[in-house]
Amino acid sequence: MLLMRFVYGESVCMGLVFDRRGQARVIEAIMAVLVIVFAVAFIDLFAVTPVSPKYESGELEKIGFNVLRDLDEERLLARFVNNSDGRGWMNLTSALAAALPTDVYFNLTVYEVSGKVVNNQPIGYGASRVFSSSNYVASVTYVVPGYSAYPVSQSVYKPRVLVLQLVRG
Amino acid sequence: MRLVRDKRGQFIIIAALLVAIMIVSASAVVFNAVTYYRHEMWEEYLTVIDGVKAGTSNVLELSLANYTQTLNGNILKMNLDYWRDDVKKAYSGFGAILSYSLASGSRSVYGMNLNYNLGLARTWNQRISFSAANATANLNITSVGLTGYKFVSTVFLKMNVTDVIWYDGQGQNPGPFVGVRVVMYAEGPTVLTNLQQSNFVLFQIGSPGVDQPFTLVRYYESTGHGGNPALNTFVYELRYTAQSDPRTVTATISVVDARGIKVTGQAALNTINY
Repeated sequence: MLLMRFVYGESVCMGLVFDRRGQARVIEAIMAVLVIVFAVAFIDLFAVTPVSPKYESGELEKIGFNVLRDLDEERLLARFVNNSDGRGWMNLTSALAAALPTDVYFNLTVYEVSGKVVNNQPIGYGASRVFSSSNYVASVTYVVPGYSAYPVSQSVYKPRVLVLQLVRG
Repeated sequence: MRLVRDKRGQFIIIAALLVAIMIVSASAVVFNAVTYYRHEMWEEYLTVIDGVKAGTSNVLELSLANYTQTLNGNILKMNLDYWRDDVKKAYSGFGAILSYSLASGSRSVYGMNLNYNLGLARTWNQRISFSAANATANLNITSVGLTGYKFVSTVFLKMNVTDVIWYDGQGQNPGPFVGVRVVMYAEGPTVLTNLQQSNFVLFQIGSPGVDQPFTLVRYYESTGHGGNPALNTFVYELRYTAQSDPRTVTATISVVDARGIKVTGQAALNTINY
């Protein structure tokens, strides 16, 4: 009887009867699970969710660019960066702080095209360690080509490169 | 009822599954390759493109402003040459390369024929006067293989001296004074509504003109006067005191807008009664 059961694909061990048939079904099931897991991982690979660093960085860049563009369209940006006294930098700091969301820290540096830093006082909001410790620092470059202050002075080409770094707190 | 199962063929199934995994893997690689553009950080490049476009427009604005202040016809070419070099330096990490061509000869802009020279055009001392600048720019961003992104920048300021009104001060009528009415347009053309008295830098009456003190009144004109149809637009009215109807008024008006762009218009018009 035992021999017959063994021949027909069953084995007996300590009184338990194991069916040796259907191993391929088990392998098939494992493979199917692998295919499903692989498919889910594949979809997840391309998902850009709101908490993804790609989304966050892109979003901050958009916010930063729009704020600078709006200030430029209002003709404030050129006036602030070409104001030789300290009030220009203070006004620029206030304008950025007012225009950006409250949970966004920023640090702006104004350069000449040659790379020389123009702002003689910091323009920013948030401690410097916020930027050094954050994984995602968005950076926006915006160029102000010149300014017009007629009738006080003629319109002149005097480019300034603004580099705005943003971090969400 | 005993079911008879065929135990053969399992390895065919395994082989089929392996082939399926290989196909899915290959699909993943192909999908990744063909949808690369979706996952690239385009936002960064878009801000570069928008920044260069905005900067080019600013260069045109300040060049036109300088041209209308100094009449230096070479200023736009000079500034765009500087701008082309500075874009390369400022966006060096992106490989941004800007080239440009200036409008030349007769071109139709906002329904008007403008005669450009080195990208600049102006017609002043007319009833309809304007100052304009036009350039076509071409942007390449070599780091992502973007080439031939073309955009046109136009800057425009137009003055239309529409009419002159005589307010006789009789009965309920206000007066006596004369009102010279002007409509101002920027690109689009959009009607300019933010000008103040300080923007009207010259107001002369007569020929040759004599500076005339005036009061600026701004309103949307929708009623019409003296049988004339309503203008249905935003007008600036420059009012000055007069004891009698002058019948004909020669007015010269200069406006400098918030961008520093200047335009001067002149018209000899018969008065119409309020």
